[in-house]
Amino acid sequence: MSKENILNKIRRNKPSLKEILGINENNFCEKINLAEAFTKNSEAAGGKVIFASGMSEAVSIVKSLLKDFEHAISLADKFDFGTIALDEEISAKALEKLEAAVLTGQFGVAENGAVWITDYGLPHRIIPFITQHLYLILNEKEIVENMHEAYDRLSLNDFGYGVFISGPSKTADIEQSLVIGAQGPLSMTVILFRE
Amino acid sequence: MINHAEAAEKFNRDEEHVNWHDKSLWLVRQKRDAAAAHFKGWEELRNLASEIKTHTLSKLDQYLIEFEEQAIKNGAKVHWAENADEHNKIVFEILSKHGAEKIVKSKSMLTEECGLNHYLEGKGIEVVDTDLGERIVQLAKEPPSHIVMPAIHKKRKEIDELFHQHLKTELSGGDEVYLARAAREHLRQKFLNADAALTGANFAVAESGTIVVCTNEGNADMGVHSTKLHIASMGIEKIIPRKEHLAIFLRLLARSATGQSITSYTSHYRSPKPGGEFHIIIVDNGRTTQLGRTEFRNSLKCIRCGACMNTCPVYRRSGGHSYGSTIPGPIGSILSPGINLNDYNSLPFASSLCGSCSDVCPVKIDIHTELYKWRQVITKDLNKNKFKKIIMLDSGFIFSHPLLFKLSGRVVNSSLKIMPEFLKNNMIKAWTRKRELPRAPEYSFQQWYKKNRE
Ligand code: SF4
Repeated sequence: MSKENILNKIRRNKPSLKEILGINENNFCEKINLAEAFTKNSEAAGGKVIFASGMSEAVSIVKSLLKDFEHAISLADKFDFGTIALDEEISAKALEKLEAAVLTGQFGVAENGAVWITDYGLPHRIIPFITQHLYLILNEKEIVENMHEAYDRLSLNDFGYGVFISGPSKTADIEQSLVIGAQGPLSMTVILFRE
Repeated sequence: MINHAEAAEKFNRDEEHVNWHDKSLWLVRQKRDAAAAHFKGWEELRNLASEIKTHTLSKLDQYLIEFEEQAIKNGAKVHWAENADEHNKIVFEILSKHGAEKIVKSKSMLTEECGLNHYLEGKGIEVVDTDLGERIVQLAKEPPSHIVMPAIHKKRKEIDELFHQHLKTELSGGDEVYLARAAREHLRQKFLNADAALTGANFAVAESGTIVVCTNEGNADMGVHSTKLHIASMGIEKIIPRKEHLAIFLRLLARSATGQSITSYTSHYRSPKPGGEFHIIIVDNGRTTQLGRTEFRNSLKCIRCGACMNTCPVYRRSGGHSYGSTIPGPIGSILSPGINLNDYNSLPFASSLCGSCSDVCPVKIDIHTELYKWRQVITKDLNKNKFKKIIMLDSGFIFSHPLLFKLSGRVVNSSLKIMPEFLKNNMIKAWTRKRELPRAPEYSFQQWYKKNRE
C-alpha cells in the first residue's frame, strides 16, 4: 500500500526522462606510479605500508609482527599461524579478545589507499573490525589507479558483504583533533609484496 | 516555529566560542579545497554526479522497484514508509518480533528526521548512537549540529565533563586520546551486548540491491556484525543505478566532506549474515512532494557531505542548532521549508546568497538560487497574510529583490572569510555581532537600492 502510494507520487512528480551519461574514464586517468601513490595515500589515511620482496619475506615479516600477540587470526594463504580456533559458529563475543588479524586483500586502490576485501572465506564478518590490529596482505600487481577501475574490477554479486578499508578506525569528533583508533582497529598495516 | 536570527544572536553571545567555531569549519573547508585542487577532472566529476542524479530522479520509480527486487533476491526484507510515523512503527515491529531491547545505531540523518530515538525510548528500548560525535550529543541531550561532524560545536572541556558524568572517566582537561579511548571501550561493550543494529545508507545501488555506508570509526560495521539483526533506513533519493556510479559519488563524498580521499571504511551490505536478518526501510517523508516542486527538486540530489555548511559564513557564525532543523545550513534551509513552510520560513533568509555553497556542492545543486526562490515564495505568502507571523528581519525583503540578489554575493563578495560588507548593518547583524568588519560601503549601497527600486 505505502509502496504503491510512494511509487505513484513519484510517477506524478518526477521530471521528464533524462538520458544517462556515460563515464569516460580517460578523463580521470593520471598514469601515476601505482604502488607509490597507494603507499602515500594509505599513510595519509593513517595506515602503514611494509614492502616485501616476495611471498616468503612477507610471511616472515608477518610472523615477526605477530609474535607478541596471544590472540591472532590468520586467514591469508600461507600465513597459517593463527592462535584462535575458527569455525563457522564463532560469535562476535568470542572474538572480543582478538589482537591481530591477517587477511588477504583482493586488490588495492592507488588514489586513496583502500583495499577491497569481502566475506568470502571470512568465518565472521566482524573480524576486520573487532581486531585491535589489522594486517592486509596485498600483491603489488593488484593495485588499480582509481575507484572507476576498482568498480570495473569487482562484481557486486560476488559477495554478501564487501568493504574498502583505507586505514585504521579514526575519529576527529573531539575538537577536530585526529585520534587513530576509534571503535574499530587501532592500527592497519598493508604488507605489499612483489611476486 | 524557528527564528533563525534570534537563535543566531544567542549563539553569538559567546564571542570566543563563535570565533573558534567559525575557524574550525573554515579549516575543514580548506581541506576540501586542497583535495579538489589536486584532483584530475574534478569539475567533470561534479558534472557527471549531478547529471546522474538528474537521470536517477527521472526514473526513480523504476530504480526503486529494481532495487527492491534485487534486495529480496539477496535475502533482505524490504519495507516502505510514507512518513516518519510509519518508519518508526516498522522499526519497532521488527525489533519486537526479535525481542530486541538494546539497539546500536550508526549515523543516520533520516532516523534523526523521523525522531526514531525518542520514539523507541518511549517504548522502553535502549538506543545508543555509536558515532563518537553523535554519542557526545546524545549524552548531552542535544541534536547534532552538523551532518558530518555532529559535535562540532562542543569544546573538549564540555566533552570531558560529559564523559566524567556518564562514562565515569577522570577529568582529563579534555585529552582527546584519553576520551576517544574511553568512548571506544564503552561503545565496544555496547556493540557486543546489543540485540540489533540500525544504520542509514549513503547509497543504495539499484542493479544489485546493495546498501553502501561510509564511516571512519568503523562503528557501522561493529554494530552490524555484532548482532543478528540489521535494519537500514534510506530515503528514496539514496538510489543510484549501477556500481560504476558508486565510483563517482565515493570519489566526491569524502573529499567534499573533510578533504579525505575516502573514509576508512566503505561498507557494502548485500545479503544478511549467515543466520541473520537484513531489513531495508525505504522512506518518503516528504521527498516525493519535494520532487514535484520543479524549482526545488534538485535539493534531492544532496549526498550529505556537509561542504555547504562548512563554507557558509552564516552557518559558521550561527551554529547548526540555530536552524532548528535536522539538516542545518544552506541545504537544510531548502529542505526544511519543503517539509514545513510555516515552521521554517526564516531559514531561506539565513544566507548572504554569496553562492559559495553552490560552488562547493559536489552534485552541483544551485543552492543559493533555490534559497532565493524560497524567499520569493515566502514573501508572496506573507503578502497574502498566509503566515500568522513571519520571522524575518526587515531587510529580509532586500533579498527578495531580483536586482539585489544579483548584486549581493557574487559581485560584492570578494572574500568569503568575511561577510559581504553591506550585510553588516542589515539582517546579519546578529551573526556578526562584535565582529570587526572592514569599513563598509553600506550607505552607498542603500542609496543605490533606494534609487533602483523606484
Ligand atoms: S547540498 Fe551539496 S554541499 Fe550541501 S551537503 Fe548536500 S551534497 Fe554536500
